[in-house]
Amino acid sequence: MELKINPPKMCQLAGAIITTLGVEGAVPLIHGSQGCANFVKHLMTKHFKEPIEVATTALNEKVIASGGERNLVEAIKNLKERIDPDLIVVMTTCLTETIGENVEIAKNFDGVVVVRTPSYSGIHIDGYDKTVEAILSICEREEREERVNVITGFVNPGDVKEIKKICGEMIDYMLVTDLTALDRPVLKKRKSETCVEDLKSCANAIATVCFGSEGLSGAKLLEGFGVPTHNIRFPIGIENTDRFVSTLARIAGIEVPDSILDERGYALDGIIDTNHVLRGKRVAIFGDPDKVIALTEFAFEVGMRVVAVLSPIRRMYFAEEVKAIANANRVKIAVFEDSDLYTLHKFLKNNRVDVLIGDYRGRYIAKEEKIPLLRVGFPICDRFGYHRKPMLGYGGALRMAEEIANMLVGGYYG
Amino acid sequence: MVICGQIRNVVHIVHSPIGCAYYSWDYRADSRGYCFTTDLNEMDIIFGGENKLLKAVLKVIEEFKPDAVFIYETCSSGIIGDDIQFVAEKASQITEVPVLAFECAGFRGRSQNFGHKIANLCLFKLMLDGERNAIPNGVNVIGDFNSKDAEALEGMLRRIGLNVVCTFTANATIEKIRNMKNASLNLVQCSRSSEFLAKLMEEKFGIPYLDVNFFGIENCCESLRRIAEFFPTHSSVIEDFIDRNLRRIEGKLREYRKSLEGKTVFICHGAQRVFYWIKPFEELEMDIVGVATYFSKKDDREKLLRMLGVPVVDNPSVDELEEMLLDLKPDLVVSDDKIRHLVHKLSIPFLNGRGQGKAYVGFSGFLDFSKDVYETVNTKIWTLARRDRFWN
Repeated sequence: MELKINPPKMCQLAGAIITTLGVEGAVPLIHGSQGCANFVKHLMTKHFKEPIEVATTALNEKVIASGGERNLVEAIKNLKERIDPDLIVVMTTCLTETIGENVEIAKNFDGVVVVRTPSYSGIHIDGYDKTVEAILSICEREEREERVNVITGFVNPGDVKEIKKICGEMIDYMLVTDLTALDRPVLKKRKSETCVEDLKSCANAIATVCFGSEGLSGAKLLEGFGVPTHNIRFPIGIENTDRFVSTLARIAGIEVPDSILDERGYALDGIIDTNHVLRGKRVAIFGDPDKVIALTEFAFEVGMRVVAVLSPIRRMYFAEEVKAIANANRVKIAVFEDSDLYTLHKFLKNNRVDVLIGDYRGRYIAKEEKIPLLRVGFPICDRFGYHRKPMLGYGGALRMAEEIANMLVGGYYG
Repeated sequence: MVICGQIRNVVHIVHSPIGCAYYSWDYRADSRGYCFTTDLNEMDIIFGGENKLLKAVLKVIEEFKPDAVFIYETCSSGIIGDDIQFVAEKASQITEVPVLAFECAGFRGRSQNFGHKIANLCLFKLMLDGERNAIPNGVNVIGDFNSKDAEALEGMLRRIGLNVVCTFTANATIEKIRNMKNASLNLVQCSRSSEFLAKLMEEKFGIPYLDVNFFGIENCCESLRRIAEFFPTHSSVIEDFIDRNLRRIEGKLREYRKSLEGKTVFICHGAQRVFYWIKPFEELEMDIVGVATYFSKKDDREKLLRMLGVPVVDNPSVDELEEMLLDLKPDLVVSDDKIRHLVHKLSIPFLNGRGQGKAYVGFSGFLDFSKDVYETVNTKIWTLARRDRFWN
């Protein structure tokens, strides 16, 4: 495609920065033009409604001739002097990758990892995946500990709280990384449950749980230390959350506790109450491929009918898995890959749906076609508090079902 | 993009990998919601993206029928040496639709000011088409405005008998920009980039320019009177207009002033804007206790320091800004959304000085501004958030 119009995907830096900010005392350092840092920061600030600080080497025209190595070294020294972070994650950009910078030089410093994140290869979830891997590269194997690593994927603080709620009742766990740090109380500093020392000990865990392709590279790295991977779907919807809970129960060798069953019960109770509103409703879903797959399953669970799905990138398994879900539900689903929202919009003009599910960039379609948009994921800049609203876990399933039902039964005015 | 994004019925293609295009999508709240990008991938970086770009331009012209297409260069397309000027010319030849190429890669220049300059220079070229036909009482407004400001400003100028050719760029179209050369006066507000364009137009078309500022009562009156000097036949209408408006807002303003008197304010904005704001806060009888600027010149900062006698810093980091705010404890911070959430986190009343979705220029605008300041400062939640040990 020579032209994309409204593609719902961001560059790798977005994922890299989010992952980094989930580590206590870690600082992202973008090696590139000033603009890269400002742009990503701006987007995150609008989504999380939080001040976000990102360091940058702020390169200019001169470095194209002379290289920016010195700027990088200076920036690292400067950061160490000024705030002495526990970890610096150096991120490359289009500029530094294209001129072929030697960024590995940064590794000569203690407490610095490097992740290659030019925008022309991969998207935000790849940036997430690579950064998890880079951060976990500092692991050191010591004594085995009865603990499980949970790689949450590129999700919201509200989602991580759901994960914590479930894990906390079942097993000793370590979040890789703790994205609740991106939501904090007034007058408080950023605080993450996961510090650099914790990350080092991930190699000692008894298992790693990760969702879809997001964070899988990091899990594979831990396999090298003898930590087995449980790679499952995102816990979106009841059945996928059941799968997550069962996985934890098996790893811990325990029964599922009553508190979790209650949690599940509340969600089911609420979802069942929405059935006569949701059943048969036609829906289109767009977003990161692994989340879209799980959301598709959720939609069918609650009685809706998925008509179209869209992923901004190609993933080998995407169309296949969606087709399997379609077959199981005896329907056809239009699958768009490596595509954009303008394409989906055109499709929806001829194929009406009742609900659109995705991030806030779906609002152009929603507005023009008067289709309610269920806002999930990242980014959501045009509403308040959506970084706090879960999509994952039993709580996520309940909030999504209820929110869709509320949009369908009434508008703003009663 | 900040300058051009608001121009109506223009397709903006960001010739880049996804990042640049995505983040500039709707960057300015007034720009209308589509993102066009060549979405360069690794292969394009190796083999060049000119062909892809040309196809993209032709496709949008066919599908969207815009008045013009603007192409933006980015770091990657800049380094790999894609000749976007060539593509623009070629596409223009084929379709007869104006296609402008902006060489604004992120590594060019020290700050966004440089990008503004590039944009102004490119748009200036549009004016070179066709003959100049002077429009009687025609003026352009050049400056950094939101579309509500532009609307209010155009209304005010119309009421004093002037003909607004173009508000650059808040309510601009390609046609209006072309016609800018037909004005007899340029009114310039804010930023060096606007002055740069005004100078170009003075050189080329002999159109003089006036520095104006319609924010605040005194500034507004002064600017209107300067316009009156230029259009002497309008001076009684203008004086009349000023009188009527001053009387109209007086009562309300007194009310706000009574509540705001002696309250302290911290401003964080471009230096030019800070200068413009000194008087309006005096008019509310509020005290400026600190200033932070973005990419300001040293002499500007020294001038501010002389005028205000309060701390002035440039490009502070989040930590530095936080320290300053905790130290100064202002009753209000006025800035743009870049630092909004930091200030919120510290539970200090915050107001976006650009007046989101509102006009702050002109007499009614200043009344609205005063009302927003009043309501922001007096919301109870700030004090609740700062109340520790509330159980004692």
